[in-house]
Amino acid sequence: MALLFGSLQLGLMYGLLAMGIYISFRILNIPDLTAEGSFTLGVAASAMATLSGSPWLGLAFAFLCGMAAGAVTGLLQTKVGIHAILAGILTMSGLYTINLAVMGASSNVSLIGKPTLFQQLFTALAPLGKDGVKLLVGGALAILVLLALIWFFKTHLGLCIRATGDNEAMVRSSSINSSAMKIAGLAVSNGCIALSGGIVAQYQGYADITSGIGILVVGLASVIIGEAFFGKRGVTLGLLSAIVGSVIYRVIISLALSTNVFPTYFLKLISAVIVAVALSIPTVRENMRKRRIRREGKSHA
Amino acid sequence: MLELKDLQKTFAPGTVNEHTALKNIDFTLNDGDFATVLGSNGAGKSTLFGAIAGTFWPDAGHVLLDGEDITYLPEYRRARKIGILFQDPLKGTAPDMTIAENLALAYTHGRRFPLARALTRRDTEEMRQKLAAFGMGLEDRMKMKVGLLSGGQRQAMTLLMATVAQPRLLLLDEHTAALDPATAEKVLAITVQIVREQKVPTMMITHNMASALKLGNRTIMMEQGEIILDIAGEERGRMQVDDLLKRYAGKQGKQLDNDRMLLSR
Repeated sequence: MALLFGSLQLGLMYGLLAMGIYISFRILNIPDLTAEGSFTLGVAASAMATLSGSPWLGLAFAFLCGMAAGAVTGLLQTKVGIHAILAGILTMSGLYTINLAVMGASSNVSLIGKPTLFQQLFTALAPLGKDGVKLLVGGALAILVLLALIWFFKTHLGLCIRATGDNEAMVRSSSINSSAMKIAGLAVSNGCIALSGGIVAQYQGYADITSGIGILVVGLASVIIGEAFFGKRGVTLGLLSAIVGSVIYRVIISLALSTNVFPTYFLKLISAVIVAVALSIPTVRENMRKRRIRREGKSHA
Repeated sequence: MLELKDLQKTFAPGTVNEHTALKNIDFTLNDGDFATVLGSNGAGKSTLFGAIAGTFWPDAGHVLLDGEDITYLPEYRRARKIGILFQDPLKGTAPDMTIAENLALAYTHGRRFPLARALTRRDTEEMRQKLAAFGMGLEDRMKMKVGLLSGGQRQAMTLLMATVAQPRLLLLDEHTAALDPATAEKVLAITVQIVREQKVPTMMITHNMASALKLGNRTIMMEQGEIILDIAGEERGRMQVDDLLKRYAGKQGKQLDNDRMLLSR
């Protein structure tokens, strides 16, 4: 029960990350590696704001910083013409320095005893209990961002961003500025990813320069798991399935770790294996289908 | 009115693959003109469209649309004034978006605040009526993904999307060539209807000489980057395919030997 509760809390907070990844990988169709840097940027910005006594403002900072990071990657891709993957790597790499600078040149910042928004709410909403508050914050934030994104992708700008990811040739010969749409899309995507980092930092009570390592795989795993349950349908359902996928991913991970078969440091390997297996399913299925056809063909020969 | 002034384009200059695609093109398309464009492969028809639409910049010369020099205007900035359709029906629509969403892209673009709702009930109703005029049953499937439609249906949608913003020029690059004959006929009929209703100056590339002479009011023929024939008025009205071939032979001093054009007679 505690395991499920914890997974739900974490899953909802990392659900923001999953939605961000969904936007770049699925809607924009761009393999964006900025996430590893922008997540940590969100962690750092939120933690430093909390230290100075403004945890709520920290979330806003995290989102805005993430958007800026995404916009940089977008600019590198469109205005300078750097390959999408390399552009993401460049931003991510540069962000490492920036993140250290944000955290005052220290690789670890502790928030213990500091007024995180959870601490504030623990006293304000005492009847809910600590776990209740954590769940409420995660859930409220996830739902809020989900609704905002659903609305956003139904606006004209949102539609143009989706079209850019769906058929760039068409958008380029239309009156939509495809470069601007990519930049805007990557900004929104990384804004969500950094916001996820922002809330996670306050939840776990510390900021660490390595927070973002492997985070891309976590987000991708969530998106893929969500798609396994919901299928690949419209954007609205896709965003929702990313959150659900994130929760299921956390359940799987905590189950895998609670069996004591794997030590905690196996986390990243398990995530990577989940993604690799999930991504290989279509090809494996196709190969099995071909093998069956060949076998039947031979038996009739 | 479209004016092309001394337009030139050479691809891969200075290499063994050097190819002069446009040679000193001087051409004016008047308001109300519907010109069909003939020419064999590599004659420069699509290159001409590319220069007008802004896919690339010409090496020299100017493109003027309604008197405004658009030669170096970015593609997306001139796209509102120029509607363009390609042979490939997949090029003009977004497959994972619904019919209504695709149309909304063209329909409300530039008319509204970017963060306004893309699809209002009134827009949807207007689009439904426009689609109904096509007689393809698309109006009842507004929430369907475009990827599920046939090539002809997608091309009809692209046509609607390209013309809904009332462009000042319509470029059709063999837009019915990839469709089956019956669908091609239908899309062509819709094209003629839209061009007539909007009175938009239009250029249409085709390889079918008979329909090139029948449709519109003007026929031009390109060869090796030049416009070699420009036929309009009374002469065109009487002209048959054989007369066109004779004119070609007289001008070029050789017979037309393009199978695709000759076989589609």
